Amino acid sequence: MSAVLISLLAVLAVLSIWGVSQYNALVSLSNGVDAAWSNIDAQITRRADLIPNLVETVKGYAEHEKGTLDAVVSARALAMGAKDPAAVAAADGALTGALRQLFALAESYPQLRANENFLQLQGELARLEDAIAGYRQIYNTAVKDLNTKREVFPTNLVVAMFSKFKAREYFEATEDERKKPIVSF
Amino acid sequence: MSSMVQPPVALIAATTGESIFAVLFMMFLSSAYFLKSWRRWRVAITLADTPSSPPSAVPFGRSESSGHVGAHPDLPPLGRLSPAAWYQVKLQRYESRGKRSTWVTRWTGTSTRPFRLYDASGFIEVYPDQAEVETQMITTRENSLDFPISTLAYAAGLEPTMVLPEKYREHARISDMPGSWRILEEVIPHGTESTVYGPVLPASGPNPARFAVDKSLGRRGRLIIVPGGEKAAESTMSKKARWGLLTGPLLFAFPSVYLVAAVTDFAYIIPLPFFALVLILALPLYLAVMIRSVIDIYNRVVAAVNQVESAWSMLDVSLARRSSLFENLTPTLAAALEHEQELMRAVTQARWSSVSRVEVSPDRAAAAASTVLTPTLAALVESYPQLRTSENALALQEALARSENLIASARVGYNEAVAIANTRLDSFPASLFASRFADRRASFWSC
Repeated sequence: MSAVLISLLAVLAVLSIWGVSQYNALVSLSNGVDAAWSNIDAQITRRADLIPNLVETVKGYAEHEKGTLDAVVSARALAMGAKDPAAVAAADGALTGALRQLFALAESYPQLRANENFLQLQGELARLEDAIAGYRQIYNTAVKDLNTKREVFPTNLVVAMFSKFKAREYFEATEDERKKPIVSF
Repeated sequence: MSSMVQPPVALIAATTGESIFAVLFMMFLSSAYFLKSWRRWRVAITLADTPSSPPSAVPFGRSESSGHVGAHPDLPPLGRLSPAAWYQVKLQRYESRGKRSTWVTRWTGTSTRPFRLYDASGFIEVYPDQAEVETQMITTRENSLDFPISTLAYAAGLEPTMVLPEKYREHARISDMPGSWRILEEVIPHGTESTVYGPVLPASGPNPARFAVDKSLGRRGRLIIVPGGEKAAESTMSKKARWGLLTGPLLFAFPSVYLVAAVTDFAYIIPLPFFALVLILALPLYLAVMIRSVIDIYNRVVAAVNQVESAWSMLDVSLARRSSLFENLTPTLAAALEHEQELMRAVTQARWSSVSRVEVSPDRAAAAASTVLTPTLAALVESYPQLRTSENALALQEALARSENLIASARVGYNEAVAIANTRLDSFPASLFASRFADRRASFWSC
């Protein structure tokens, strides 16, 4: 009888060790899911914090460029329009006038470079979205691992014993997000 | 002695009694187990040698991937250069710095043609000008012969013209300036073990993931890129398969030894009940194999059904990405275009208004103006700032294409997952469990 008891205890010991390892695996996977979810939040916060400031910076530069160009143009116009009585009265006033026209046309203006700022903003927007999508994918994989582990045969007995391992939801896009965007200018 | 002449089956049956059926069943079970393991192992080996199905739903993040550098199909073979996956060309000049003279790199060009990095589970395409590639075997060759830079540049995947900065183009023929210039050529030959660092970007089209460097993310551990679907599960099962390859023959050995002992004269040396005892003691192993097989069948169905749900969600991820990206990108481009248009308008108006403010006396001015300021001359000297927002529009076009490609890849991945799940649910042993998953059965994607 004692031999039967000992073998029974041995079987119970093995089962409990195995049960503990499955429990730990479930705990680890569910922590992975929580971590992945929190990482997504971090990326979304990063986007929310970054975009307004970036946009303001780009706008600021664009306005600066416009302001600078306006200043250059109006200063030149002022200079061009200034009438020097002596020069106007000069004999070759016509030639001077024609030359002035020539100078006006040949003036080179500073390069417009705000498009580089806009380009960088576009690139940064794409990178931010890539990061968010990437972490959502990691979250999905973590949820899939947890759900699979929950349903697989040996482990679903452990899950039945404890109610704390719930099936997690996958990321779901809203109906608006599923529609295709219309690009029109 | 006379027993050896009788037909073998009758002989065995006579010797072993009803246990013959059990023995035969054990042999059948162990050979089936062995064959299954063999098949899985062969699949895993094949997967390690060749590129497998394209990685759909490749997880993102900063990753490192190691493997063998392979050829890109478009790379042309070139006579004097060894076919290599990656080139870097350095133009160096021998200069004296104070008392010492040393070779100074004046210009570096890196090949842009992508190469493939094969690892055990598939391949990725690496764009070397955008990734950090680490390898032990960079071959450096010094080329100071009459090898024109344009040919090297072509090999490196660079444009053959307009390669060098203007001031170095006169030195394109190294032999013209012996001793002062040299070209160093660093190549990573095919088959080299390399490690590539970079974040994994969404796959564009049905091709594998593309690497690019985003230094802000930093290095963050190891990510193994595994293609999605059944082949992924198979590739990680090579360890289990090898275990089965060992235990299968072992389990086959027990009953066969028993049979052999039963029909030959072994019984005189070692009595038959000994072998029977060994067989009975080994019974739990056969039970374990049977139970394990049943559990495996159920678990594979579970895994496939969950993979379908995960793949649907990956599709949602790519749709959400497209939506929020274009919500922000479209106004950005609109703002850039409007800004440029306004500036151009401001410049033009201001310029022509200032010109018209110039007063000229009509009689001699007309004569002078008609000669000096002919329309052709006017057109020649007009200079306006360049329109540069075409770059922005190009970037938007590329973002559009990438987004759609990502969505298409996600749909393909979903369809693959559905195909596998439905196959498993419908094939014979698993269809007995299929009723449990009847409400989770999915159909292929349709618009």
